[in-house]
Amino acid sequence: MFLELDSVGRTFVLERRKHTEELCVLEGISFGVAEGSFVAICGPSGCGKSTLLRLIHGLQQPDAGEIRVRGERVTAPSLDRGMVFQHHNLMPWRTVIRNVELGLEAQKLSKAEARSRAERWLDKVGLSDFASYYPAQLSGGMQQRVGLARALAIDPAILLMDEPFGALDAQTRVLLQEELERIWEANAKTVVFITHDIEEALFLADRVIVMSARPGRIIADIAVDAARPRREQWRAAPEFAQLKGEIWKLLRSGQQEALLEEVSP
Amino acid sequence: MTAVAEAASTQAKPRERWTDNKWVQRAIVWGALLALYELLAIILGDFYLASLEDIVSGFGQIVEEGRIPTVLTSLEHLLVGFALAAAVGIPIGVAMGRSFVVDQVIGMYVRGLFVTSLAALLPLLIILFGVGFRFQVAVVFLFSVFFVIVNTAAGARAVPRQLMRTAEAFCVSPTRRFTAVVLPSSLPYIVIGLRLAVANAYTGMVLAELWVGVGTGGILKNMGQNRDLPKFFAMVLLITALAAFSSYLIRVLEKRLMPWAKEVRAA
Amino acid sequence: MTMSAQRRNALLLRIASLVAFLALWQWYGSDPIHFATPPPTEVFPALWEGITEGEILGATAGTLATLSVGLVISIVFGLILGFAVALFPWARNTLDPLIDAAYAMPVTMLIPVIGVYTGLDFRGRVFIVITYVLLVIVITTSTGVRDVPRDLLETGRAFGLKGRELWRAVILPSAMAHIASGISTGVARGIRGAITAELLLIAADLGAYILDAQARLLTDQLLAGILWTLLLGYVLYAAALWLERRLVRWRTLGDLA
Repeated sequence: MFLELDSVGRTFVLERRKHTEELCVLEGISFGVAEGSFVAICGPSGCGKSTLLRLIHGLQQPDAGEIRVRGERVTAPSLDRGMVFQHHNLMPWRTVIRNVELGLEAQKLSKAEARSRAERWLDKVGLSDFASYYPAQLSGGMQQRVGLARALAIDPAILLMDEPFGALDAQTRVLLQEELERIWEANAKTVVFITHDIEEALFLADRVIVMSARPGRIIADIAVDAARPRREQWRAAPEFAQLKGEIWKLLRSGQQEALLEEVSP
Repeated sequence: MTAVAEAASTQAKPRERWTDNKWVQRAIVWGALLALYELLAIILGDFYLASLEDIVSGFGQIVEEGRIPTVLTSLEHLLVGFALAAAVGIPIGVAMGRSFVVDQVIGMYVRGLFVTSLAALLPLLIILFGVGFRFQVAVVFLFSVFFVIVNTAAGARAVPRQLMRTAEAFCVSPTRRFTAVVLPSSLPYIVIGLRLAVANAYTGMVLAELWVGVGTGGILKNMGQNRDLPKFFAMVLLITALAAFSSYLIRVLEKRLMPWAKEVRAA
Repeated sequence: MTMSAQRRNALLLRIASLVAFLALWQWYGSDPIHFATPPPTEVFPALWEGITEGEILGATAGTLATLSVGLVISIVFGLILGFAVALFPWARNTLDPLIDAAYAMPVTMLIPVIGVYTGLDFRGRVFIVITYVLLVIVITTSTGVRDVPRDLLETGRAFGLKGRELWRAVILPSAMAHIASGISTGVARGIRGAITAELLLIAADLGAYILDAQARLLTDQLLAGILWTLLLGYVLYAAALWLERRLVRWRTLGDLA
């Protein structure tokens, strides 16, 4: 398998005033991802989805189990994996083009090469005209596109996306989903995409992994066999609605538990 | 560990040693600094520095010589000037923050005097007010009022628009809107303004008294001129403690009165 | 459109306010009872005279020399101390409380004794400027370095930046915003320190110009000196603020969207 998770677990230690408290966010997570496939991980808030993505990237380490990419254990961040964050996380003091170049600086490319590569990816997300703008001058959707270009520019084998469109308005979200599908088809990267939006997961992914609330566990692994390119027809298809209902039922049981947990900590 | 330190070292946290305890570190470093000072004081002699034990006994001498009532009189001037600054500064600040016209008409003077060197005004104030009570109070007032105005204005300007709209939607009268929305949400800014103002009021107080050689400042001037350093340093420590305590007092009141308030940045 | 209308109104209001202020001052100062505050028609000619005869400009140059030497020393040591406090737990644990305590002290109190250590002239004035400025730089530098947003640090690490690259790309630019505003505040505090020293330590430069006028009861020259000093402080701070905004331009950008 290209990317493999083997009974991965992660527990946070919270330091309270008098005692320490252990909070298990992920437990026994195992799944594999084939090269070039698009996997969405869907779950209620607080199920440890974002933590899982950070573990795959190597920004954090699991306490149990291990994660392997091409059979090699992940122990640190690598430019082999590109991350698109939930909040754009662009450096506010850098112009758009300089932000896209961020990951290229660690790759020791020549200045000219880095610039031309950044320009190419900026063009692919349709922001060539905004290269010299600062992030604060862009709309939320544009900021996320810059984040996407930044992650793609390092030419990673795996693209990790942490609810990248979660904070956007509904129309912008749909536009960006289509754009992402188009870019993905043209470049065939392996993608792990975190979302709490079932439609988004179904529209984009070949496979939807459904997680339960704390501690996060996998409760279902659903294949989505719709033809590509999908476009709007897929959203309107009866199979789409049926899968959506199925996942919704799975999530609902988990979500109710999470809600109750929040009321009585 | 700070975020930066954390990022700089990705390896696992080493086991805690006894030297990681901050009070151990403080005992070592502060002890070393005091010892160094004492050594310097002994080498240089009492014309340049007062030794620690002399400074401690300096406190006793200040009390014996009856300096405390003088300090209290100075504090009285400080209090009057500061109270005036709050009484005048808060309404002006609110008006500046809520009204475009007021902001344009007086804002430039306020901001100008806020950043510039007010000490230059002292020679004029002496001619206007003499050297007594009114001069002292006027200097304290001038040194503190602009901190109150500028921060209050920032607070009144930062009243969340949604809150005002909500109040309007619930048909709250303009006067109620003022007391129920504008004042509470500017209060954290007003308090931080008062805290900065009281710190600066002490500077004003000392400056005015040094200038004419009366009160606490006058005492400091005499002690300095006679190289009576133990008493001088004791006095300096006393005034610093008073200044720190005043600012602490306002902070405690803030926590008591508005537990809901979040930290705000001073203007 | 509404924006420019508002700007025009603001400008008109400011001009009207200035005219009203001068008129009020003229009316008040022309009354012989208020001999201490001569009207603008006497103060401005005195100011002009002071400038053209070179006295004010010479004094200003002296004040600026004190200020700039004090500022440079404060910035150098402030940056070193600030970085130390931010980076080394030892320095933070032991120095933070001392810095807070020192910050609470009205440093003006030290004026009666510092002459013995530094002399009453240039060095003494520079020392007072440093006591006014140094701590601000230390505090803003250490908070700037400490408060780098966690998200951005994580992003830097996610894109393969380590050690020095992380400093260059994330930590320093982020800290720069705090440091630049610390320096602007430092300029404002520095000019206060310089003027205070010139008035109280021993009469010098602009302080001497003002004190001389006061001693000779030349109230028009006195007001001219005070007005000039106030304006100088304001202009210097405004210039520092302008430079700060240029340096960290990204910070003051509005939303286009």
